[in-house]
Amino acid sequence: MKELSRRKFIGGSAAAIAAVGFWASGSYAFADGAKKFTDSDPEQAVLGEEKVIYTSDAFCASECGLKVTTVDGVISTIYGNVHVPYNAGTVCAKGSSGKQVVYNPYRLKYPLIRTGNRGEGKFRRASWEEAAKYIAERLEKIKKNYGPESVIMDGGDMTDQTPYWRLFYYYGTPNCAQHGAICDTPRRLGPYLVEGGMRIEPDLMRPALVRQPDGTLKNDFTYKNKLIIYVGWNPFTATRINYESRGTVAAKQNGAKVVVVDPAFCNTAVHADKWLPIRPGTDPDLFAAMLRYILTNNNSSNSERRYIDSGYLDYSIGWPEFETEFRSWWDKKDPVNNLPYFSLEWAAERTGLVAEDIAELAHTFGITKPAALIWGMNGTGHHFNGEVTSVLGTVLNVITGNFDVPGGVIDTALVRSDKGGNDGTDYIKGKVIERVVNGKTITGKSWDLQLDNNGDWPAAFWGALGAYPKQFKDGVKIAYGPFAGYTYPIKGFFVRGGNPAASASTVQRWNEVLTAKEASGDYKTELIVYVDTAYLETGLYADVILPEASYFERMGLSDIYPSEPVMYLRDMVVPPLYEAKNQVEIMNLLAKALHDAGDSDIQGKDFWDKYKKEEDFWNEMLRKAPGRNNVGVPLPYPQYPEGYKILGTPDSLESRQVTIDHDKKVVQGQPLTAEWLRANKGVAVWPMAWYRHMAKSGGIISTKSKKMEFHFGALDAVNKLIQQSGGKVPYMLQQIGLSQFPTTFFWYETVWNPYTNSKYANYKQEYPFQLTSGRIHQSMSATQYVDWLGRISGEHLWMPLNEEKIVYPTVLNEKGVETLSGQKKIRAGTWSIAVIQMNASDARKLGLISGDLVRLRNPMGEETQGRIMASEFIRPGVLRIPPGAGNRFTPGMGQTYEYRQTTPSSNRLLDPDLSSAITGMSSYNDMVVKVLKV
Amino acid sequence: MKPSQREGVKEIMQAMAYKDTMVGEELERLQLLRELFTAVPDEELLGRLVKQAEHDEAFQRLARLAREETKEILAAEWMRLFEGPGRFPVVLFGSYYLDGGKLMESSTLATRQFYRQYGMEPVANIPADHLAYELGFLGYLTASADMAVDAGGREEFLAARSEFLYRFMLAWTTKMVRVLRESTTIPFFLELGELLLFVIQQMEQKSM
Ligand code: SF4
Repeated sequence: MKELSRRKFIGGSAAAIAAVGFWASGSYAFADGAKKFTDSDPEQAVLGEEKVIYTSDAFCASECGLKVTTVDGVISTIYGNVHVPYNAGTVCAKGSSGKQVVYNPYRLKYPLIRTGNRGEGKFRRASWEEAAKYIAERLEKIKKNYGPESVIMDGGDMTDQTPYWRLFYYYGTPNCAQHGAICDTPRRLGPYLVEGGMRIEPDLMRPALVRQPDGTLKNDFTYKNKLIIYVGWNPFTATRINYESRGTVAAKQNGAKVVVVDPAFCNTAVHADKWLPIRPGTDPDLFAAMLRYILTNNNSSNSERRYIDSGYLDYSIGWPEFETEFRSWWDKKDPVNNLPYFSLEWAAERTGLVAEDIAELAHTFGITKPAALIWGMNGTGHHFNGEVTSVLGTVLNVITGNFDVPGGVIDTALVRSDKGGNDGTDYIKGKVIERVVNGKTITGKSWDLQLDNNGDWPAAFWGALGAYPKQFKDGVKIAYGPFAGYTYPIKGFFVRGGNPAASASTVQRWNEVLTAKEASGDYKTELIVYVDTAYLETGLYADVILPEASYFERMGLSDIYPSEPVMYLRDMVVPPLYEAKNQVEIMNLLAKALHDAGDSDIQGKDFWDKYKKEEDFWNEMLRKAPGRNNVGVPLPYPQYPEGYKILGTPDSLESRQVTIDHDKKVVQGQPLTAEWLRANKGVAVWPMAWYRHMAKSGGIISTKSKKMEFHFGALDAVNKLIQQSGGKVPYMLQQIGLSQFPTTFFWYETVWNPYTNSKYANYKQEYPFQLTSGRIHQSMSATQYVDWLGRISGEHLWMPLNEEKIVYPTVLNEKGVETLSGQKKIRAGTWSIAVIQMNASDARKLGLISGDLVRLRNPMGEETQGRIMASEFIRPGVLRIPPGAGNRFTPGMGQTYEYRQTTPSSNRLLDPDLSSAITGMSSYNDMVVKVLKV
Repeated sequence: MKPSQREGVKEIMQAMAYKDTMVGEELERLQLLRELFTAVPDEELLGRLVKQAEHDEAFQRLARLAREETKEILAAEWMRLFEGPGRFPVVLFGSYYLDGGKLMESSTLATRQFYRQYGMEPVANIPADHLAYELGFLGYLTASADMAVDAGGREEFLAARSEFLYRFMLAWTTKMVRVLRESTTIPFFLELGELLLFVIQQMEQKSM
């Protein structure tokens, strides 16, 4: 046959041309498709060619290193990349099913322009040119009428939003947000204030690349941990810190003890030596009691009571002030229980734990070295008072001498590799602008119009995305900085890779603001753009949808949260399918369209001429790697001066192909590039060290004073800004009775907790359940998007408890929208749905069994519906539902969408007006509900 | 579709004196169907549908049904059925039906392999077993058979066409049309499915 086709066609006859012409003609989608092998054997061309590509996952926020094989240009196998120490060759069920994301028939394929109303989900196909022009013209109109600050760009839940930020910073808006704002900022506040980092994790990442006494580098696989306490943190399910799950098991085998403090017997509790089922929202109570116990009972001359390692006094400031303020509470009585604050009895009363257990935990933590106290997203990140928890947690780790010691805790934000520099932050911070405020022309920087830091959330470090519906509704009122008194509306919303309409604040409120209209009938928010591979709820509101290349079709960099500098590449495994484009292409395309629409802030030299290839963009970012100082024990590079900043590829640094700048204190090796990473199994690993915070040269501590600060310089500075701008107290501080940001130990109660906050005590009877939402990465949107993952059950929150369902397709015909009859049957018990986890004794009292449908109602009258999963694995009086997995109202979620009426949404019930006072995070875990049988 | 490409087809058809031949008609049918399954039908395509119906009885009903719907309804329903966004009901890729709801599986690769045997390499950015591709390939084999320099060549191509229909197209298009029937009440789309089956089944009979 092969021979025949060659004989008949390859002669170049008119007939051959005609036949090929037929193939090549047709819709544009296939227009350029004909390729004829005229001078080579077609079967030899690419058939069977096997390629290995090292890349990184982005199916969840863990971004594990992967080794992907393609055969003939099609993804064939997905394994973990053994060379990336972060996941060391492991890969989870999601990661290994990534093929079904790329080859998902329902992924977004073409640019789309809305044809129906917002929320209706009706679109038509458009070309990239048309879509880009549409967006650019509206952006320019908004810029002209209201100023570029009226546009918010939300970069979503990926580490590679940089190209989009760059585009929007150059466009002129200082308002670029990201998912971190609605992830766990309260949890990060303590580390941020005390040592300038954000993310304290146990020293569990193995192997660690360690400098040996003989000067060589070796992978160290030993676990030094003796005690790990996880509080409201569930690494066995919420997988972001991938090495914590395998590391915890390995450390346990090595003799470490594990304690889990969580209202639910979560997957991590399964591995614990002890589970303490704490009452939700009382983690700071536990930590405060531990700190009081340790301060009271510490005795440096008694080895049984030597809790505190006073070494921290050498590299910190403000401890006496902090301790004095903390102790000043000890004599006060809590109005809720009339017991002295932070005493064991007080904590027992509030946490629901036994006083002896609390004392034992404090003692064990104090006496065991090394130990790690870890608090997580669920417990601290999602509670209003998580900010108190994280400060106390940081303090406990530091004063007991566990910070950056082998087997202790590491602030991974301080030691990960550096990258970036091209997101446009410098540009927007330096850009001089004028605005008329109260009739006067004021000159300032674009950055001074940033809606959070100059508005309601002057101390938030990642913005307050969860509170944004308020800004959409009321506009932005600048209260601080040179433009104090200036106001502007929100008119444009560009969302990429995030889903705020379903996950930030309440679903109801987003729906309200995104569909709000002027009297003229036009939408108040003039432009909404949604960029993604999957069609999530926010997409329903979009005017334009742009299909982004999936993570196997684009480049990027991963450096998640390792204990030593590690940088690995996300590489293009296969070219983008359909008309999807990568971020750099989209950035350049939109930049060009803005330029063509007359935007003089956007020039080719900053975009399409500068980044001709996707790789150019990422290479520029890599030039900063690893960017960490040569400090710690063992010294990473004994061949170079201590304290100098290290830059360049690991091999050039080893072989001394470097230049040393003694003025700037920089050792510069060969700059890291994507090409180098490709040639080196996709990853660069630089040496690990410990005690990096103690270095005389400043070490890793990133506060302004370069010391650990128990007097919070960062909040001091915010208070000064507020004073200089007239002293307006941010509304959330007012709510909790503060007149300025606290600069040392502080305490305030969480909201909607009748057991700890007297303001809510009277809800106890009528709303007997506390509602929490355990973060589970296994149930994130993308999981349900892949059908076979949607069948897997996980951690009691996601169970095959679906009812049988006949799906009636809705059609559009001459009568309008009509529902057809009897089509597809989904059998009961075959699809994993979000459920409401309830203690079995509570269920018995209410006459409920697993699978029963109930309504949860909060005191504001909001409701959500779902099925009960009754078990002993949760504290009585507490309900847990997974965030984001239920009540999915986008058809992009497939079968999960079919169960939107019988699966619960925690987001519907949260209080949208209460975001945590300092960081502006939605309080997902603070609510009380009653249960009503359906 | 860019006008220049459409011109191209017309020119080829004319140059090869296909206008009024059996093969010419087959090619025109395939071309029309392929475009109808590729994107929302625009005015120009609907105009050609009417023209086709003037001399091709098989297309008369479809042309009439097209006139009975508004352009907006046709566009909205096309998007809802075949493109979404979201879980649209009718997937137009073969492997979805042949490989348990997944794309780019072994049947896609086998399809691509088959194209390659005839010197054709599909573009990389759409899985090779999209209905429009397969219709294009049928046209290619049809035209090739007609233009083969000898009877042996002609037979080989017809045999290949038959094999392609049996192994790939008929195996999944019947399933796809069944889903289409269940997913829409708009007569135009019901007829589009039936017409697709009619046209390719007729080709299958001719191949034998
Ligand atoms: S943990 Fe997340 S990043 Fe790692 S393999 Fe699983 S889905 Fe991918």
